[in-house]
Amino acid sequence: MKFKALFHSLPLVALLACGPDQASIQVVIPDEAGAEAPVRGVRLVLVPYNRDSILQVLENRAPSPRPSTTELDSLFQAFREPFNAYLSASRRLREDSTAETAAAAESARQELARVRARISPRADSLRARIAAWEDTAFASYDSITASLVRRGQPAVIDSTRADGWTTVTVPGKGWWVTARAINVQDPNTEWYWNVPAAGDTIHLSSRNGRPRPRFR
Amino acid sequence: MSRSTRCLLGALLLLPGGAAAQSAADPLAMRTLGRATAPVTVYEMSDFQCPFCRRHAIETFPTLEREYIATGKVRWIFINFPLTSIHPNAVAAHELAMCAGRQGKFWEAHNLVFRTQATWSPLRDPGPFLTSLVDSLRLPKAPMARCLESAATRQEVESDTEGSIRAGANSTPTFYIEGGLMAGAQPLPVFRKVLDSIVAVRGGR
Repeated sequence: MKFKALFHSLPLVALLACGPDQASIQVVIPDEAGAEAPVRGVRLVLVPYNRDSILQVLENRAPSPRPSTTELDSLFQAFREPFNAYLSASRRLREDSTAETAAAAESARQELARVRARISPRADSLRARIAAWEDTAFASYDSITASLVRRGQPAVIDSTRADGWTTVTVPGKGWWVTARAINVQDPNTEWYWNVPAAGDTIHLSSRNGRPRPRFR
Repeated sequence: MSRSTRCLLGALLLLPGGAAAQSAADPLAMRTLGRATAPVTVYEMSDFQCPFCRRHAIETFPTLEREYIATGKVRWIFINFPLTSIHPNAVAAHELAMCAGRQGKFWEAHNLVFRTQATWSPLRDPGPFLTSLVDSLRLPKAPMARCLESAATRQEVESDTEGSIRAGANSTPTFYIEGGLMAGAQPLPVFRKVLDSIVAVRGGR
């Protein structure tokens, strides 16, 4: 009896192994309560160049300086407090559904809606200004990176599983991992990573990522 | 091909070929669990610095040991396969386990090395930490020091690595099970499916 056929009949599972050209990547970020939690479905892009350094060069060469984000930052800050209050109230309501907690949650929701209505028009206008500047300043980004990819191997794209992990094949040295994830603690920002794809295990977390404002 | 021939073929592929290893009566005995008469033999090619090998050792292996090895269905043999290009500290850990094995404590060392992987794995020099495990395992210091300094131990680990590559493994953990290779820290149900299928055919229930 040959047992080799048995191995071909096994269900396909993601390769959970260490290998010379394989890297296992996990994304873990703070959840609503601030506890580090794995994130499912984060799109990971591995490219043979440092994305941020290209963007920095393009920003330095832009015809005009990046628009100031000071006003937008303060609008985002104004939103953050009622948003977090609403999150806390909702969390409490899940644990304790008394009329008093329900009223507090509703009050927090109404306050959040008021703040959103107040700041949204101005925030959207500032966002659009910054997005338009980025479209101009970074217009040649796609053609630059396309030429870098043509010279080497194409980008590797994957997504994390429910446990926050995935395993990818890194085509060579000098590759970078880029990823973005929703920041559940602040909807106006997102977690962003751009780190070297070095080693067989890469953790993308609050330690090597940063929350950055969302302009789009 | 008879069962004994197949087992012999697997063993020949994976058997350490170093002079020191060959001089021992059974170089695999100290890192083998289960009855010699078990209907299935599994060779686990593993790397102590590989996080997926750790996952297998901690999350899956204890159940396999209870359900298949302790019940006489499976004989389990550990093969050293340190991936030195990505795991610079692995060889030192394998040497420690092999030397502990000579003192009759291979599996205790195996468990401890995997459990403490996160501590010694990132160290520039894992030597002092790994040496501290000698105390934790209550191993005699002088024979352990001699063994760890011995070139034969290193050769034994290298010989295992060569055997693993010859058997077709290129990642860890990889399991050589009755002529088939299974790569990755597969979940328990996958192991159960494979082992139950073979045990059923062999009448080992």
